Amino acid sequence: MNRLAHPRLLGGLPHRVSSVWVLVLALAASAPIPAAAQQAQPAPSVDTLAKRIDQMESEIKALKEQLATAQTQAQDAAAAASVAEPTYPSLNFHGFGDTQYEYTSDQKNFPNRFWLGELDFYVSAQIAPNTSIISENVLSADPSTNNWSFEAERIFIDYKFNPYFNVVAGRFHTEIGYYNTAFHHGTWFEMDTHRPWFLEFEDSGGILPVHMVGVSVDGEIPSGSANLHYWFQVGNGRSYDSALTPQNPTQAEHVDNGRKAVNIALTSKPSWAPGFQFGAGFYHQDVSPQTAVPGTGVEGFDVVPSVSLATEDETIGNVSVIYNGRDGWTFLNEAFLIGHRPTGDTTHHTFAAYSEASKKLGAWTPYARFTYVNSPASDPVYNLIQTTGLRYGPTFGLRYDFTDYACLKLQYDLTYESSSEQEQAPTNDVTFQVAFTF
Amino acid sequence: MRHAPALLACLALFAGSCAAEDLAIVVAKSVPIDNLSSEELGKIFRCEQTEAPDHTKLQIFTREKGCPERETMLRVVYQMPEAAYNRFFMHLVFTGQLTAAPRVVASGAALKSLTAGNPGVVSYLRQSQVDDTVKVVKIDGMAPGDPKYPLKLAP
Repeated sequence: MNRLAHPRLLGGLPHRVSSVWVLVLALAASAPIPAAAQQAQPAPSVDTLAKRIDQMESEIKALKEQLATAQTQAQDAAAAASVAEPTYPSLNFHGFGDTQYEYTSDQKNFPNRFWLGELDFYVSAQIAPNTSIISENVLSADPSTNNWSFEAERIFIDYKFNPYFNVVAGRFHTEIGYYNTAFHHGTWFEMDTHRPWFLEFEDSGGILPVHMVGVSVDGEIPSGSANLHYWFQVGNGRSYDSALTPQNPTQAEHVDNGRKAVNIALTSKPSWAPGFQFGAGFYHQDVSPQTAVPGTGVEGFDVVPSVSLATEDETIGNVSVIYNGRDGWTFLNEAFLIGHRPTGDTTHHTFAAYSEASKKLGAWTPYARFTYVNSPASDPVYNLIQTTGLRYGPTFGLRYDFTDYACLKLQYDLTYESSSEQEQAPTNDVTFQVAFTF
Repeated sequence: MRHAPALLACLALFAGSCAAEDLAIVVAKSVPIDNLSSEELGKIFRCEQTEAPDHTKLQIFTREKGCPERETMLRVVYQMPEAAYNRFFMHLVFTGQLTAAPRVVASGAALKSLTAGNPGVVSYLRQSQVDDTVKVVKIDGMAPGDPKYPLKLAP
């Protein structure tokens, strides 16, 4: 039988091996062979050459495996080294933004409009094993002037001694209720297009001291299955100087008086009620309301001549029941009782509460909220910032997370408002919002 | 029908190859954690518990998105899908409870090396990747291989 016609070469072997053989034989045929060698050494058989190729392929495979192992070990060593020797500061940056279209039935006061929400630049940095910095700076437009302003909403240093004692100093969100510290300035985190009215930021019409400049201490309380956590905060509190109120009620540098606000809060995430969080807190501040003399000064500056009103005790008690279930259901329920007691007077109480429910269904999340605020016209503090009266109404919405980091929200708000002087017609608002993070 | 025995043998082999492998929770050998309840495991991986009993600071390392090991952790421990996981950790970072989400390592061998060499690192490996360089932590008193062990990789 002709050796080239052997079935192992032409038929039985794979095409790749056949090609190798043809190449080897061609090279062998074309190579100059010494005459002596031709006589002394017979040409190697095809089987011998096949064995040598098999041996070489095995060696190449072994070398490749050794190389891959060495590369993996080098990567492992590099990764292990990077953990063993962390570098400081390690920066973490995120941005949040939103844009929306809003239609309201109160076209006289609020024409329908497109508008930009806050552009939020969030930076956290670990600067030492137990020390971190958080900075949240927000760029936003004033709806009355279209002027853009930049504000440090949060900037604080955080030192963790241990799980039971953690100290924060700077400007932070007051641990007053659940919503205020669960949701900050990025609306992407929030289910709704906006915060409950009374929990809006101080410069956006909110009635609570949601920011504080001062010191906060918090930590776990060894409490078994109750999983208690405490907060104790001391700071400047909120100004009720009407010259500051529209722009900068958070007392960052200017203070109305030397007495500090104190806030305590306690939460429990009991092991026996997975997903539930119960909270309660109490806030106290001696406030010094001041009202601007009409027709004087320049808006936006704190040099407007003002008249001091009587110093008052401001007390805010709050309770919350939260459920964040793994089943996709979320229930948020919070109630606040705010008291203002001018020296020598009785206490004027304002009640504010909301309940919110949502159910995540894949990328879609329908939600509903009911908000209620009732502030008596006799309250001199809320009268000063023009937030007295009864306001309540439902909100219905649908959120669609079209990517992991952006969502659409379509929301309807029905709001009833009345004051001691008049009862207004209910307003209907429809908002379409795109919120994102990056 | 004469091929039935061979067919049954093939099916048995296929079933064997698809049997769920367990996922082991691993720490460095020096870390004094031998057993965790399911609740403690969840708290550690959600970064709600950040210290070992000897006050070693715990640090979570995780596998990359789409990896079967990570999918198992999401399903059993976090009980949330990938998008919710991302949002959960971004929220912790945003509220100041963490400065960064758990770091991702794209190979089991690297995770094992990291865990073995860094007390405080808590991670997870396929049972077949575990060797004596790391300590396997029992869950509710059960070790990988136990029929009732909760962390089973999806077949």
